[in-house]
Amino acid sequence: MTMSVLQEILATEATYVSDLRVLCEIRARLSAHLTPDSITAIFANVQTLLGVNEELLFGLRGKAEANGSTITAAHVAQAFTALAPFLRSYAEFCTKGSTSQELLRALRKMDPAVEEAVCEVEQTTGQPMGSWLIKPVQRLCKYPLLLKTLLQETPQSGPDYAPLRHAFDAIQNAVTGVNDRVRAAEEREGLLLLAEALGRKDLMVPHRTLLLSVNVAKFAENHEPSGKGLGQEVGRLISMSRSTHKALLWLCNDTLLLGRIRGAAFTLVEKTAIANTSLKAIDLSQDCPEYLRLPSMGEEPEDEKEEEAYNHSFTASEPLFDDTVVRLTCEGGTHYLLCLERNEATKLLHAFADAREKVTEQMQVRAKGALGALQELYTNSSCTPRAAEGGEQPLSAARKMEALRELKAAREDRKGRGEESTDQLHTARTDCTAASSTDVRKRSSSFEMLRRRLSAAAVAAANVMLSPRRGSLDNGQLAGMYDSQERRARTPSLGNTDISAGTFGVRHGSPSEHGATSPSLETPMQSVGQSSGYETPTKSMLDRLDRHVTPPKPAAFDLPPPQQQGVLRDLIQAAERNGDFYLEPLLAAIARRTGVPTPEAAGAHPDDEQDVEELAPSDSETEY
Amino acid sequence: MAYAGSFDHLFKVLLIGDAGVGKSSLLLRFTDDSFEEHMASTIGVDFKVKTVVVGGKTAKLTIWDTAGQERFRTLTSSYYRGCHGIILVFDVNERETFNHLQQWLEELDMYATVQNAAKLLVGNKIDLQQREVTVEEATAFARKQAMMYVEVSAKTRAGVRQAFEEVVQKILDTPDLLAAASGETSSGIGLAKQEGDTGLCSYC
Repeated sequence: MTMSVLQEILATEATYVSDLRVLCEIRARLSAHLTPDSITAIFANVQTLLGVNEELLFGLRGKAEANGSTITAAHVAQAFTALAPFLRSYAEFCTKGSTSQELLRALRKMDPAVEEAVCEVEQTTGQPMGSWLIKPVQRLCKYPLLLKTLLQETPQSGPDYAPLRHAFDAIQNAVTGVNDRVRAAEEREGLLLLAEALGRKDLMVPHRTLLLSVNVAKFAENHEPSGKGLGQEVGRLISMSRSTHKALLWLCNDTLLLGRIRGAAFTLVEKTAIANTSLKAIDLSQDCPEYLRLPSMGEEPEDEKEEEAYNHSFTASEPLFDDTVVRLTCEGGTHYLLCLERNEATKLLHAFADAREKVTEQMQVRAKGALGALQELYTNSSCTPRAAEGGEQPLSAARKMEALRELKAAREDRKGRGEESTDQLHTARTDCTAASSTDVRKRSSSFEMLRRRLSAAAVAAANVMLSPRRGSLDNGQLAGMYDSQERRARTPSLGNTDISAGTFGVRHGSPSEHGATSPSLETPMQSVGQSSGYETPTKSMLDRLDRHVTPPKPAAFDLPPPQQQGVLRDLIQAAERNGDFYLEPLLAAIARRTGVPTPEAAGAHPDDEQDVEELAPSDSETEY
Repeated sequence: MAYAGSFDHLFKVLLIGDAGVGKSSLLLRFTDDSFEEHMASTIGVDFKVKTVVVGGKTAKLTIWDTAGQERFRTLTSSYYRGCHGIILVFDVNERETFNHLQQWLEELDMYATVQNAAKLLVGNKIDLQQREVTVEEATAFARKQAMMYVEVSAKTRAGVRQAFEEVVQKILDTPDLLAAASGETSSGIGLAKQEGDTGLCSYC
């Protein structure tokens, strides 16, 4: 049986390679009648595929011949393992495949010469062009099946099993990869067409793909989303003309777009980020006005009593129409009522729920990464004695985990998040005051605790700032928190804008503050820190920590490794997306130190050295 | 290699459904009248050709099977292109395969390029007697989707032929589909007429 599978692999591969040769010949023959662009669009890289598969066939057959013309499982494993990376070239062919047949059909209709040539090809080859063009796709999908069958028939204890298993995994992965790439290409293609149709090239951003487009029979703005008037609004929507209120809804992986159809043109009505959008089906059995309901009793009521019963059944009966009404709430707070065909609505709601789940997941991963980076900054900077000092070790992985766990707990309590971080900051501050009164190196346990709290406070604060769904309440709490800090830091101005400016307070501060003498409380540690390159947490650091979550001391801050920069970039992007003014100063500071450019930082502060100098913990800040 | 026999229409029919519902068995039973008890996933068969006579018309069917390739959805979706008939197969003894029909229909909606391709719902393996899906249930589902429902057993041959003929009849009854078929295969038909005299018949 194994023998027959082996033979089948070899025989079908030989057939396939000869089919590919035919396809290449067809390509050559048709190139006399078609433009080079059309040829590429139809035949893609079929010549490359021929090369790849000739190589495979040679591998299989060559081995067979050398082996006295019997092919063995080991040879197959070897040949396919070698083939796997080259299967990637199928992605191009398969991507073109989605349009090649339509294109060819259109070209045949347009040009009789093409039609004649294609007819001739179909006659001589005995198969329609469509069959020829799909062969590579079919063959690609068969490789995993062939290898799987072979694997199933190979004894697991035998010497062939492991290499075959390896070959199967490699091929399976390669084909899955092609499948994914083709899907991604199709989704991108969809978005490109959409952006062009809407005349909105700005919709094309990397990583955005079009997942689904849904016909909306009618749509209208929903003026009273929560009020009693819903039934009336639904009624109005239902009675609207389909021709004037038709729309399309496009679901991208990060955005939902609503476009009105006017004749053959589309206009974009609404663009809203999925993370801040909700889509809910309205229960029409509740909110449908009576005149749109189907009477459930066929007979007319004869007396009063029956009439009452009739009326009762009337209101409780099914809506007169079969569509689903969905409420769309956009990030700007606008509500729409959409009337969709039932199947379309189901499809949309499912796809939306999936997309939203993915977005939330990504946000979490991103926030976690960013917070990790923040923590790292802490570990690498002020709170850790330099390893060279021979003092304490940098924050261990276990400790980091612990801090992350703290962060998680903080995240779970979503409601009290703002308060919690304020609270943690406060605790950290108290600890710091206690700790800074003596040489912390001699109180290592307290130091450790403090460091942990610092980290936790930083991540908690950052968590508040990075949270994609931060409500106004959190914002307010945060603002309040900053307010109080600002007041203590002698910055007279209050309010959001001023807080933002206030975070640069250090920089804006008068030069004389810079060289001000440290209060006696700080002096011992500060001098230790300066002389040895190791710094203990100081009040000044905490001050800036809870105001900006800024890495405290540039002198002790090592340039982060590339992956850390990547995370920082994520952080910056997250902040940009949220338009987060609280984060701005932090990002600018990080960017200056790490060389990760942000739009604000680039060129905004040409004098880097000065900035770093100014962002260094200035002694003036230590008063508390 | 050359087109054998004369025919009035050339139809492309696609078999879809969950893995293991017996698509390949159904195909082999219909085209070769054979049945393999323990069939591995289809390997080596891309499509089978069979000519049938329905209502006095000769239709040459190319029947495509996607067995075992369900995992690569995007790639297999290209099989849907230009399809005139779809045979949606499930296993009456496995409810799960019935539950997935909706997904298959959605897929079909998304990828099929010929509008209103003739659809037929086929409940396979009725010989096993471990029914999890009743005839009524399947009929109701099919009716909701404007499909016919046929029960078959590829093993005992019951209903197989009828199922395929049903699809052909449905295609013949749909003018749009006929137009699409002739538009696409005009060369094939022309060829068939030229070579019709050779007297070869692929209907076996």
